[in-house]
Amino acid sequence: MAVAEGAEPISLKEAERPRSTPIADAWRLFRRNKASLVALGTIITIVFIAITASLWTRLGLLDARTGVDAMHTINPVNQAQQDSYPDPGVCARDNQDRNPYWCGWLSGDALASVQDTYCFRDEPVADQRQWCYLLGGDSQGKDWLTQTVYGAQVSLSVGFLGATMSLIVGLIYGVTAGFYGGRIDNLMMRIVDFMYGIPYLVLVILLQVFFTEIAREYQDQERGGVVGFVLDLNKDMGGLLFLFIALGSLSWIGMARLARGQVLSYREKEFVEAARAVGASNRRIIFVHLLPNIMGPLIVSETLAIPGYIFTEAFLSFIGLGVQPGTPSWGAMISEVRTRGGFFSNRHILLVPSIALVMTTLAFNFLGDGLRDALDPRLRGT
Amino acid sequence: MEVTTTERRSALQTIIYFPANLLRAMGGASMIKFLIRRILAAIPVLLAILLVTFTLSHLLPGGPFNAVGQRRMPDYMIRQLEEKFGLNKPLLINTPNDGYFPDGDDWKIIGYHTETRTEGGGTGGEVRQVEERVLRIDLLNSQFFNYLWDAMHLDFGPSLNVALRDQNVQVGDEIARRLPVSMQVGVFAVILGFLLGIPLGVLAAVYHNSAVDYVAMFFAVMGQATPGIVLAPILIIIFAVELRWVPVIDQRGQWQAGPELSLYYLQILALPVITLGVGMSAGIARLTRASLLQVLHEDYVRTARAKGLRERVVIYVHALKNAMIPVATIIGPLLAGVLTGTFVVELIFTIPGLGKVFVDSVSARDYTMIMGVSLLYSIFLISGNILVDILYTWLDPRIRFD
Repeated sequence: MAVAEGAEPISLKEAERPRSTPIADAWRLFRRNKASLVALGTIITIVFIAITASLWTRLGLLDARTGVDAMHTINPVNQAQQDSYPDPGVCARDNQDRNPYWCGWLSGDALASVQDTYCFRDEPVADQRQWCYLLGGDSQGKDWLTQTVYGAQVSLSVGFLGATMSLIVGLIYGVTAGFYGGRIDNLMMRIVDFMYGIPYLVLVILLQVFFTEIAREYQDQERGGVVGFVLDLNKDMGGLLFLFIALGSLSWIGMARLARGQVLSYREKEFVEAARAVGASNRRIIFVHLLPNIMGPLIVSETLAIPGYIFTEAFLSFIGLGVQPGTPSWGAMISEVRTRGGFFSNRHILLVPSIALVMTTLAFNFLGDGLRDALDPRLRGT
Repeated sequence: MEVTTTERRSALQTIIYFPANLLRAMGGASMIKFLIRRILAAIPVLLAILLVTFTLSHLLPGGPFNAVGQRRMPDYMIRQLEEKFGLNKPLLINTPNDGYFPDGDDWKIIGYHTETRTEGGGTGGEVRQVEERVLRIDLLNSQFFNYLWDAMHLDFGPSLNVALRDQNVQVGDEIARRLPVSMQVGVFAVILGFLLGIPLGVLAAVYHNSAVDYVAMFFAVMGQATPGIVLAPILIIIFAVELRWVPVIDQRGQWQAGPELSLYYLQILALPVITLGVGMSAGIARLTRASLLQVLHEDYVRTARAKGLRERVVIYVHALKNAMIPVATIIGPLLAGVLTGTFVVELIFTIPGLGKVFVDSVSARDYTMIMGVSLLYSIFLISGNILVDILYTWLDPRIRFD
């Protein structure tokens, strides 16, 4: 009786303590790292802007995605004629005779204040609407802010989808090899060792040239079946589909090795043995007991790999093997500045995609560091 | 007197026994066995890479003689050129039904090949016609196996690129001319990476959680987040266009001439090497810092402190030696990356190195050059991987080959 009385407060105390799930723990640790919080906010902002980009275009705050329907008069209103690059803040006449949607919403003072710049006064008169280049533009009159925002779509989707694909493939491969072990493991790891000797960039460049040429060859032809579907899909995605395939061809290897190592280290642990002892199936052991334990380091390493995918895409677009021409991409923008002599004049337009690129990769690096502190306590502080 | 002779003898002995000692230090016989096994294992990998590259490059639409962006040649000329370079042969296997030998259905002898040979050598030899039967059972008389056979004899064929094939430039010669150019950039960048990265990492670890640490790590993170295609244009604008300290591109053929101790060489070397080296040093700095921080918490460092050693001795003599183990092993991937890493830099700074050759060869469908450069990259990559394993065991004797 006395024992029970004595035990009661202790159990009460335990009940009072707030229960914390692993995710809550990770979030608590992650929150401590202020730089990572800022990075997370930055990434969310960039993702938001990239997803809603076409909305901004419809509202008239951004130019058209490709910049070709935006028939701005190339010679800007208040700029010397010899320089065809619009400077930041310069406005040009617009040949389009439609108002942005939001002009109708405004009235009174609000309308008067923006009328000169963005909205027609009374009747649509072609010469009166202007397009203002907030961050300048290129020699064809493309708005550089618009290009940068739409370029974020390419970079982010390459980063996220590249990471997701490599995580999924690597995870399946590595867990299978590590869990079943023995001859299967040996064979699968020999294959991985073999692929480890293939130079990444060489294969990616070869694949990209192959895909671009195939896409160009069938550009005008009607093609049915799977091939036609894939080609159409790739065309609609601006060449991104083939880029994913090329980037994903080798990137899963490191992930597979990591996943296998993790599984090997957890496979013989007591809790797995206990699960097996009570008769859990292999599937249950993998999905319920192993996966939650090994996911942390994998996610961290994949987050830190995202800048690599973004760099590779930018580099490929830089040498003209990335996205299709006309699709806005940061690498292609930098390349355009370079080929048109932008190192010597109009340098500001080089800065815009550069800063966007560095900011994005910086944010992913900090996010990865914060995630590592939160998800992989053994590596903290490295 | 005694002391000096023994010292001299021991120095002599050191020199004599150095190879054996080095071998023992690196793991002795087991190391050699390991090395042989790895090299043997690399051969099928290289063969498979050649096969993949070959298939992929030949799958590319178009050919070296009707490359994209060029005016199409008449068909008979393309046929002649294909015959000259052996491109009319079947790709992988010379099957009986293939189109290489179009006439007849005779399996065995499908023609005679005559050649004039000089027997006995020199000018005094007897000149006679040699007649050879050409058999269709030569299943391996295909482009791939012919290439393989030649490649095993270190003959990588003539370049098919329109600019090079008229001068009969061999792929091997072209690579031998371009490789040193790429190596200059890569090797100096690795050196810069270590010279910059290790001190930064050590400083950051020694002054852990202080302003020095934060500044160093900020530099490292920025270096990692800035790709070459961003850093290089900025460097060009600042140092080449604005300050005019360096030329934008090399105009004197200095890259081919090779390293020399002159101001001009340093000038053209500076920007590419900084572009590559800063990225490398960022990774090295972070690795050094993490590794040193880990070592500083080990027991033997506490022992050294407890002995009353000065902090400087503890850090630079006791801790740093072990902290360098993971850092040293980064040399392997760096060696492999020295070549592929220079891709970006070569294109931006128009350095006549291998990266540019490769990109050009792909767009020109220069099959032999694609194969040659890919093979070289693979060899670098594989030897880099082997080097990592060897360095690991050498530096950390707890790891053994098995």
